[in-house]
Amino acid sequence: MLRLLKGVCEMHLILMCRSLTAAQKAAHTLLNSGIFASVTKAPQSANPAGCTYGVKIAQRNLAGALAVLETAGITVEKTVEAPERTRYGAAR
Amino acid sequence: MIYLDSAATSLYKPEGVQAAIVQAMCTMASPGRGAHAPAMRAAECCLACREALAALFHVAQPEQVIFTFNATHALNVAIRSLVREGTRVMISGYEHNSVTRPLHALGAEVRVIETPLFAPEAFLERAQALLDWADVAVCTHVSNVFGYVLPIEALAKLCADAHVPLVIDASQSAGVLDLDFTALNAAFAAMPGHKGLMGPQGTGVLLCKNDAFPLLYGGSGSASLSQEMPDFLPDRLEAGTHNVCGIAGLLAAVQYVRMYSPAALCRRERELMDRFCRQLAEIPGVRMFLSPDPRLQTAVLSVLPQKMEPEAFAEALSERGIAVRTGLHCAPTAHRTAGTISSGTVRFSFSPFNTPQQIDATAEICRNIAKSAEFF
Repeated sequence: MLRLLKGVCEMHLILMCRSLTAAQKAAHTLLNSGIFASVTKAPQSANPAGCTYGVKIAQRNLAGALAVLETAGITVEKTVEAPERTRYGAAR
Repeated sequence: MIYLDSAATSLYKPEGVQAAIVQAMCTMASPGRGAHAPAMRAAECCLACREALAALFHVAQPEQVIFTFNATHALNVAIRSLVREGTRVMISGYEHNSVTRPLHALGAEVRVIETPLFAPEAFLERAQALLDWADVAVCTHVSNVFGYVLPIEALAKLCADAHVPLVIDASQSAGVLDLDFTALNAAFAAMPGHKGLMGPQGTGVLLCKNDAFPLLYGGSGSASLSQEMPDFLPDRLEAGTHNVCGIAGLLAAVQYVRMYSPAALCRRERELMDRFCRQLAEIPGVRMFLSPDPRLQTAVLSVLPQKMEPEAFAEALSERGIAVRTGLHCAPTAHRTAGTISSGTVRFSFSPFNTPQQIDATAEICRNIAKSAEFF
């Protein structure tokens, strides 16, 4: 039961990229490294420049994901929390 | 109908192109305009196409692959990024109006390297001499009129050594000849999707080494709060809704080209052209613009009947179901350089999907026209 609750409540993060293409590349790179990631539109409230995209990952994969992307030369502009249907807050 | 005008537009498309277009039309929306499934399907399609093109042309990053509406659009972006009024631009003697008209409109100072057909050494010698003067070089890889393969690798080396940015018009070479964009170190390479790549009309591609100035301004789905276009590729150069259906078709076509390789497709086309040339050579009074060295010519053949207007010859062919192109082929510079400006030529251009039977039938029709009307 505890394990189930943990799975349901797991925190997700959005690694914000500067373009849709960059977000797609990031997602593909992560998926190829065994880290589940999906492209998502980044929350407007977290992006002062206007629309952009990011990749959504589980919080537990953050360190691994950032390392993979850095190795691949893909820049992450910012990381924000992505709790379901709530306002987004900066994670770092 | 026998279609021998593939240098203008490929009519015969690889299997899968039509289905990809229809599938995109039924299932895809617009990339960068949402994160719902139809938008993301479109985004995946566009990225896959960029990656396929990047792999085909040895481009480091898919972001450097820009979608345009055609090669002319791509050339306008490239030229407007590098050329201002008074910029000194060196061009080959075989350029298309898609190069010369933008240069004229911008008020560039243009010098043309007028060297004979199929004479790459003379071309490079003249280019070398002009490089001290030039700010920018623009050169077609292959003449759309004569199929003449210009020595683009050697020119690119000369330009790199002289720090002169080079724009390559790959309209007739993309999908036909190998093109290593990274090794060439050119500033830009522009190409259509609908000629040698055999994709749908309304698709074009610009390969960018670095940055470029936008030609169109508008929505990009990114950095929306700024009134400037984004400062990153590809968004900077792709304002407005993409031709997603066209890009889906182009992806299928590029996958086909990569599967068979440009070299193999070109070889097939050249075999067909050589078969045609052997038969045409038996008809008296036909001047063929044919390189003695096959490496210097793709499967584009200009012909000049000695005693007949090219248009009359093409009309006679058209009446018998053969599609070719006459006139100046939007390339008066090329005709001026080759000495055919007053007449133009009749251009036969071949597709890997033409058949030997079509070639023999065309040659037979040419023989019949020559015999019946004594035109030649």
